[in-house]
Amino acid sequence: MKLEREKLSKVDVSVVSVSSGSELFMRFITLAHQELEQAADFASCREILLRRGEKFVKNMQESRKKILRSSTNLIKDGMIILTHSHSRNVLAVMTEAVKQGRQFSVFVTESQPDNSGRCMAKALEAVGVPCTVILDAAVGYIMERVNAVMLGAEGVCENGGIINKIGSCNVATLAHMKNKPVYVLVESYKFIRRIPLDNSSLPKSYLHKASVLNHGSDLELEHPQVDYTHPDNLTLLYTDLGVLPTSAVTEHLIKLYT
Amino acid sequence: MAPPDTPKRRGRKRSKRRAASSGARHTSLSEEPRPATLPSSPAGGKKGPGALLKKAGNKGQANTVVPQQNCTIDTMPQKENKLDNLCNLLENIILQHGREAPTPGQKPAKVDGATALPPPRAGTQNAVPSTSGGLPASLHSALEAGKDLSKEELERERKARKEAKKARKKGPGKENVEERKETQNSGQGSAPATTVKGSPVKGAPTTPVKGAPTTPVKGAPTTPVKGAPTTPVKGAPTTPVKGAPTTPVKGAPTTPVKGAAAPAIPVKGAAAAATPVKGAVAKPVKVAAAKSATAGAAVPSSILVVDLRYGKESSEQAGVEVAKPAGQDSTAGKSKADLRRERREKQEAQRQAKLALKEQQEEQKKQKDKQVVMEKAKASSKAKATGEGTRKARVRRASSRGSSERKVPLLGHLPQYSPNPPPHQVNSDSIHPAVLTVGLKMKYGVVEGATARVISMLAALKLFISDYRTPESCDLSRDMADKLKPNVDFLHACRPHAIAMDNAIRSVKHKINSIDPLTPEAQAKDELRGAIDEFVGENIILASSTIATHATTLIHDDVLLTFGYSALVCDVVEAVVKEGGKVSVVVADYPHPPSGAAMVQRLDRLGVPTYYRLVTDLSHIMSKVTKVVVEAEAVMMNGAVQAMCGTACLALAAATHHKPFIVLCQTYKFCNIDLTDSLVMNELGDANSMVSCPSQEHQGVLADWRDTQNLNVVRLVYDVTPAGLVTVLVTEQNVLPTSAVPVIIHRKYADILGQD
Repeated sequence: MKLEREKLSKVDVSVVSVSSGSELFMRFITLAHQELEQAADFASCREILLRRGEKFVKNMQESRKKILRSSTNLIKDGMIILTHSHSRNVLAVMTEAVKQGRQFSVFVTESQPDNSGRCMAKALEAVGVPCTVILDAAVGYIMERVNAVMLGAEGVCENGGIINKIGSCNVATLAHMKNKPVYVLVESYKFIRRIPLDNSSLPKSYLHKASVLNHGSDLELEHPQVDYTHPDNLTLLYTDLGVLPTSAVTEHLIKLYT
Repeated sequence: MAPPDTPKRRGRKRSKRRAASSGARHTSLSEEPRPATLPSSPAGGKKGPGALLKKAGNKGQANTVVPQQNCTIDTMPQKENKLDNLCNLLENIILQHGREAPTPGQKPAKVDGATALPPPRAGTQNAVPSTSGGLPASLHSALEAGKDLSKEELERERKARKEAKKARKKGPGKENVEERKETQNSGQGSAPATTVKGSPVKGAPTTPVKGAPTTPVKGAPTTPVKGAPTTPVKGAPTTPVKGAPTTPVKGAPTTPVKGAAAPAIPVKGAAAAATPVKGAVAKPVKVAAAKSATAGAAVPSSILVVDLRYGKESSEQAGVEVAKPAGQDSTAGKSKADLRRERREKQEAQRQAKLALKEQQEEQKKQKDKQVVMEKAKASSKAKATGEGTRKARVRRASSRGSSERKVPLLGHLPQYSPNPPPHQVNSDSIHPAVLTVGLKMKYGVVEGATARVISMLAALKLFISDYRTPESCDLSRDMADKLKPNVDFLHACRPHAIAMDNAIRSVKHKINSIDPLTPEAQAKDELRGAIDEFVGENIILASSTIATHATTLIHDDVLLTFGYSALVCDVVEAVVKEGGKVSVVVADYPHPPSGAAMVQRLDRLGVPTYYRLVTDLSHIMSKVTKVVVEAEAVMMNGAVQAMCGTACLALAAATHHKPFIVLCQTYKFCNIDLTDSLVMNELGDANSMVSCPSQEHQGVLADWRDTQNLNVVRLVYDVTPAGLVTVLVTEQNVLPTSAVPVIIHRKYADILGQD
């Protein structure tokens, strides 16, 4: 399993979610203490682990649906929402809201360096949500007009802070300053057992793509891909476990890991 | 000598010099007959051993075993000896589990009558010399002075007791008489100044010459803690207890003539004299005891009472009126009367002598007492119950015990500081000598810091368990819990328990309760000792090293700021250095006492660049520092962190400058209380140490702060940092946010939370 993880980490994917997901996966499948103790031989142990693994994967796939269920009443008529970069969870929730007939509009940040915000905007328009793409630098300008901010997350830290596409820290901090609620839509397998003290203590493996890391270039000159948002700037986490405050993440992790 | 407020240099030599100078200052300025050595010795230049002490405490190992020396205050190099004593204590525990060690002949070095120990006590030898060594010179002398007195009183008490027994056999009427006599005896025995203050006096301040330690409380161990005036003769019927101060008063009015023998004793007359006065007063005195007290018996205390109440009545005045009802006591038989007369004569002589001495003190005390607010201990919302001895009850008892310091407004609910050791009984088994030693050590700052205190306390409890013998027809679990209580209370009386200590005691009690009554005693004791070892090994030693490992993930190349001395922070720095991180440390310190000096020494030995600053320089240094690391004394349920007073300043400064504030804490220090401010649960330290001033010209400015009416000098020991200022909490379980604390408490203490 660890080998597979390493393989994945060599690919340019969201390292954070992969690492947290696989950690939790391993943890989950080995957590069936009682069953494992009763198992007679290796074969049945293996069976148990496989079954739990499948269950975990199924949970993962269903988690988005559960998030939808917990956030049905999140978007109200007439709301103006700001979102950052391209998050499938946010997209799913907005799609659902449209299906329920709500009328709302969205501001999407451009989200350099990969312009993923534009992808998001295209997807939203396809669903029928009126949206506007704004510069990353215009977040402060637009914040007054916005009612709420919705973000996805690549990882949720144990203290409730999130690791997300670079620029999320700006959005959340400004929103907090202007007293706008910040909602994070995230699956629970993205919870990680780490508390970054601040942005400079994020590990390099999170900050840069694998290809960049392997390239051997001077990392000081490379732009980071993610940043860390302090939990004080976040309001609520909408997860497949329900709607959680930022302080509840650690309880879930402790329960799972001990 | 350079004043301590020119830091900014590397800590090593500077701190030694400064520490030495501050030590000297302490001794010269201290107003009270403070021990020149003990309390300032942590401040004194010999911090190394102190640090080692804590290190030893933390690591639970005996560093070196130095042969026992004959301990006197003068000859002993204080710190070394204390370290050695603690090491020996620990060694004994580790090596000689419960085995009776040979008795050295060093008992004589032991101090006062008040703390005299029965020689054949096993396992105490090491404890004993250290206590003798540890006690301050002043205490020594004070107790010597009181020694003779107390011996006298002791004898008198014994006689009184015997006669009470005789009387009881004779009949109820006589019984009361005798009781009253006893009350008188003891009432006299305890400092007269303190008997007064009206009936509900549970907490009249105790004086050093209290002799209360020697009052023959029959198996009522909690009395010394309480307030001797109320418990001169507890063992006897409960009535005198309640109203010890009141019985004389009350006796007087209701017994114009009862019992009592031959007249012509001024004493008696005086009693009678008091009577009309008393009657006139018609104070709502609680009538706890039965009526028939002889006027004579009522005399001495009543006169005292009268004096104190009115403050002006002199003994002469009382003496004048003495003559009157003398003739009225004629009913008692001759032999009894003779006995009584003799006793009264003795009492009278004694009393006169004392009165002359104490009159003025009483006046002063009366004034001070007027300011005393006897509030209930404002414990937090959830009292930490530890069986019978809940923290609330203990705190109440402690604060009612009072002290010689006057109470500060708003802080009357906090346990007051008293420079004197708590009174306790002589020749009684209730307090184990090892506990005695540890208590005194904690009181005088030899053992400092939550972890060290817990370890030393548990070491003493292990000895207690080893020496414990189950009496016939008793359950070990129940009886041991009962016998444990006075020890725990004594420790609390010496110095209010740290929260970590409460947790440790609770787990020990839990273990005791869970002992199956069928297990043989030796096995049960082994189990208990093993449980204590496990507690220390798991929760302290192992936890500390795990915390150090976790912290290395947070700290790499950093300039750390820390506060005062903390063994755990030293461990963390050591671990980081081992990992190859480049770390330098700024130690912020509060100069009374400068525990940071030891920290600097220790870090220096690790090869870490260390800087020593006062905590007042925070705003200057914070911009140059990258992370702040402190150790907690306790962490509350709401995530608030209780630590040495001054830590909250660091937290605030860190938040302002956006530096991470890292708190290190083993999980056994987590507690079930919610605190939002520093005043609700705290401890008052020795205010005197704050009053000394380094500069020559301002030295004596606050010297008479005690007499200054509107000046309150307050030294709080702990402060509380709110959860929002703490970035992370490093525990042995993981690096956690403060929101994880209730989760951990519920998981860790689930089995014993129900007992709270």
